[in-house]
Amino acid sequence: MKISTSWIKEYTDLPNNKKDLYNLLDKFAQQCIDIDQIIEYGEGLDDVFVSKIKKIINHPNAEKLKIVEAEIDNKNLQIVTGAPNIYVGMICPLIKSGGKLPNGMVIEKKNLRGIDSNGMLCSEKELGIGNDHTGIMDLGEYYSKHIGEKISKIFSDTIIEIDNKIISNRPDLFSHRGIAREFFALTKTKIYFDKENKLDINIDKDFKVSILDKDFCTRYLGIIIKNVEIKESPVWLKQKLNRVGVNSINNIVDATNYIMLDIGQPLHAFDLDKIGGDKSEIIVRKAKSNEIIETLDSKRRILTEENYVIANNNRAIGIAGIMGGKDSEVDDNTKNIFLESATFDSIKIRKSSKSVKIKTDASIRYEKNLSQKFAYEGILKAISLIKDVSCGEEGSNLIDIISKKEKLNNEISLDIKKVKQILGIDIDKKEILEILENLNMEVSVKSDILNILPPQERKDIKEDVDIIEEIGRIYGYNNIPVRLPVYESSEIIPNPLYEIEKKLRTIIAASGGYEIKTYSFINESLLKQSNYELGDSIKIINPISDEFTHLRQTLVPSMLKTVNLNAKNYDYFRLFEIANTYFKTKEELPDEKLNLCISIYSKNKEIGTFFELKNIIDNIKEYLNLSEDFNYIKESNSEEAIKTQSASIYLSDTLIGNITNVHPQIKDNFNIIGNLSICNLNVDLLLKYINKNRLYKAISQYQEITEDLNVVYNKKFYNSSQILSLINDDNIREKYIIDIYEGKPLKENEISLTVRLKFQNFERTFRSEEIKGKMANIKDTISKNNKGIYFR
Amino acid sequence: MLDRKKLINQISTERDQAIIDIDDCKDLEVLKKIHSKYFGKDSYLSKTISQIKNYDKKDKIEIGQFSNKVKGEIQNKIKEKELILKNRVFLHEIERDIDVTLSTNNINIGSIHPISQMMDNITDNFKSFGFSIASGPEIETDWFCFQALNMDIHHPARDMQDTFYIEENHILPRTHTSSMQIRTMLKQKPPIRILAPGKVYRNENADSRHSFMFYQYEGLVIDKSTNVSDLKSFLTIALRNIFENDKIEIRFRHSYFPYTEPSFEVDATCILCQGKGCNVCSNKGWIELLGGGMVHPQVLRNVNIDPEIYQGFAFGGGPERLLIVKNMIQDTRYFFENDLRFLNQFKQI
Repeated sequence: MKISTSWIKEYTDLPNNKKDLYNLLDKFAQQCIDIDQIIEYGEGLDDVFVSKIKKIINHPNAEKLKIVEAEIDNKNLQIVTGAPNIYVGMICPLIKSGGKLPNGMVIEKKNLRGIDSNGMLCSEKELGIGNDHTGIMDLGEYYSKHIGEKISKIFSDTIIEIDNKIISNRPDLFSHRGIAREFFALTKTKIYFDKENKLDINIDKDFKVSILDKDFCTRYLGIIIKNVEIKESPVWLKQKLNRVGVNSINNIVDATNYIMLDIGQPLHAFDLDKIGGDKSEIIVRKAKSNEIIETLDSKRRILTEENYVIANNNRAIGIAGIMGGKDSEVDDNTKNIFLESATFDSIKIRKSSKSVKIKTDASIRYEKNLSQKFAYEGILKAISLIKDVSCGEEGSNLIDIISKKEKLNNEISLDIKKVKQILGIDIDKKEILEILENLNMEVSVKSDILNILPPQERKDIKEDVDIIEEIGRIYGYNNIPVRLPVYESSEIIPNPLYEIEKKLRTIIAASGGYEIKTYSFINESLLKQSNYELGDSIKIINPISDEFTHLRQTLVPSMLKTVNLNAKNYDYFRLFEIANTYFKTKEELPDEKLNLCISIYSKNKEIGTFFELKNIIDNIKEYLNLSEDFNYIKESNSEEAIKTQSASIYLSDTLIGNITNVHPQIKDNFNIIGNLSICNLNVDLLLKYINKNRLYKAISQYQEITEDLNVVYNKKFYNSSQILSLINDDNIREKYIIDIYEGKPLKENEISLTVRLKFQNFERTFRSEEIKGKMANIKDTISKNNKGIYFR
Repeated sequence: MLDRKKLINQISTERDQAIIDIDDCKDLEVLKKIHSKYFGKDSYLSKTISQIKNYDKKDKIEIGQFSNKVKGEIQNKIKEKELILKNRVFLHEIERDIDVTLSTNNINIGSIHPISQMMDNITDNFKSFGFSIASGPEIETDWFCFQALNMDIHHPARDMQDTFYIEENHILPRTHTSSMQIRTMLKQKPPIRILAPGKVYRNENADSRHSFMFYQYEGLVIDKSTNVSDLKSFLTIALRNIFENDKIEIRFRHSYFPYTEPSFEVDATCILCQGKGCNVCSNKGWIELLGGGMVHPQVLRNVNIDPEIYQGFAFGGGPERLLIVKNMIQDTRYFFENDLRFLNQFKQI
């Protein structure tokens, strides 16, 4: 919303000096409403003056040109112009030759077909204060007292654009008058109230109004104004609207818009003769289902029972509080109008506006719960303005129906001690009183208790903290000091899942993994590409796009997509993600399971990404200090798996996850060339296996003896972990595979493992004969009990 | 048994042989073997010395003295040689010239995502202030996400245009971590001091400043005496730590949230221009980082905490915003694109 500071000045004093004004605006932005931007309206008009046309004669050598003598500084200046709308006595803007227009153009002294022209008369577009370029801007008689003055003095203005969101609970601030009150609270200068408008009408004519839904329309005011003359608005009115970004339509519409911007009350003018004349009836009612109305914007609207209309006896003539109807519009031929000023229920307006998908300056205000008081003040001010700009006169009594009394604000009691309790600073009682009174609150004091009645339009103020907020912001939060708070210590509640997630990130990153973060939402085609089914994935009923329609149950598809993206730039990388997956339950809320997905990609097929990945998983065991080793059981339980190259991962009997080389078909679906291995682990399940204690194990001071054992087995019948488990001796401190060999001279399916054994005990160093004996023993036991295993 | 003279001759011969061996030796390993050849259990000298006891006293002394002298000579010779050989090895290693500007990249450490880094930074700070870290569901009911937070059914934020729904007006991916305020206050008696990090979702089209999924951190303190000044102080210290800049000041700008009263937007001194005004802060000298306020009494009543006894403050913001400011990141979409060329600019584990 745009606010004109010169308009504000009609209600309170603002600094004239730009620097002081900007300082005040900075304060306003912090303590009242944030300012999105400040716009200097009518900038660069220093060379343009108000002048009056004294004499017009035809140009001797050009049919379309006229020679004008224009008064400026009590002197007449000769100007040649081709403008069609000039007349003697016209008050208009003039720029002398040598002067500069806002767009940077310098006006040269010219000779036009033999006649000197010493300047230029300007259109509003040339001045940058309007769009009309059909003729010279006609300022009107209103400005005759300004002849010779700089036009910037009249039209320049500092406009502020404010953020509506912050005032969504402040209906009083959707107007210049309301915002002026805020400025006054900051500056503590002066406030100029509207003079109490009195209406002295005594016409023996009423206009019938029926309110069918009293919860929707709580107050309705209306009046007939007859014999209006529809024309362009005077320049001052057009300029006022233009400054805050509202287009001028005609004098009647402009007047209603002006009142709305001035005091925040939306008004609407109907062409009386189009709605049935003064014998007609106005009915405020719910719209019928599928009732049709063409609105002012020439669009045909099909209404529902969520909408409310203003109607006459036979049809809807406007959508109440939102937009008027086309066929009752005020146009150039309008003679008499019916002026409406009403109070509608904010929630019902919001629903109505949402369902018909129209947001207007009126509906935005009605949604904020306007006070009935505004409807009265609005119509009074509008009547006098309309009479002024259209020469109309009252054609009926003022109708005023209050169908439901407005709930009056309650008095709130505030203990001054609570101000310090909430804000943390002492504010002088006198200062508190001044702040509240400047905000138009009625305050009575009983020692430390203040009884406060907020003005009726401040419906946002309901309890003492609301008052404290007013005190705090106007006092200025900047005055609140920063000091280290002193607190009693309290219990720290552990969050093991959060801690394990943090540790996992460090372990995997230290193992070369880059953490990625992908969206929690997924769609069927991405799942299909990864060989997954949508299954019972949870659906979002209003997805942002076709790409993100369901909550994911696996991190794999997004991982594949990310691998594809990065494989374009890198030949080798490791990625991981830790995120929730979502599953339907019988309860209200889904089950959220924290998953870990790791991938290793290598363009070079020689690199065994599968075993590297296993290495990382085994590091996780070590670094998280899990109480069990991971068991890998060869089976494919994931959709992206190659059956012969995948395993389920267990911690004792619990299935924790899986690891696999990704199926070539899926790699192809994602245009991935090379090796790609992926693992998934359920992080929640890991928690249970974390061993919190790490007990010290004694280190033997005796020399350890290392022996390598070459064992050959057939991979159809055995796997390496079985082989390792067969190698046993009480004095083996450590055993691990150091080499794996397949190929000649071994037979098909045979694998040769070189296992390194480290013998050590706590009594003495083993002699070489003893070790030889132990090795022979190991070999004998294995050979005796297991067929097809031999040693090299 | 050899007579004394012959024995001494033999010892001399042994010594001569040893000197030849040592002179010929070109390798430290060989030198070790030479040492055991002449001094080991089975060596000639050892054996000879073990026989000395069989000679008469005079011979014993002479043989003994002689063989000790020979042993000394050989030992010295070996030591000398060892020095020479070691020096040769050292020299060999020293003489190898390397180009110190070359490097390998065999050690490949990965990196934690920048959002996680920032989140850790935030949680670490608040942990040091005695806050617990709270986690809760991403998919919420409207009660936890809206109603309990004083946002009734008519609140605009609940529109389908702003919020995703699983079930209309009922089950939704949370739009803010403020739902964790409610979950915590229902579960835990005051005093409460938590920080809740997590993912949130809003039905907003992606652009350089918006994403439909992003992260938030939510702070909540409930106690018998907490106030705006405390909130300002905690945030000032935390932001100074996060930006590693002691000069940062913060200011509270009046704002409106249904669940706090008073409510603020929290601005910090623009770290780029130190408050002088620049492009990043649109010449304001301040940048908006998060929001906060004193918990609305109605919110406390909703979770059965008596606002006459307890009060508190809450604040919340996005780690992305802090990163954008700290690292001058132009576009928030980078965070979820996962291009390694972006991620590897922020290496940290």
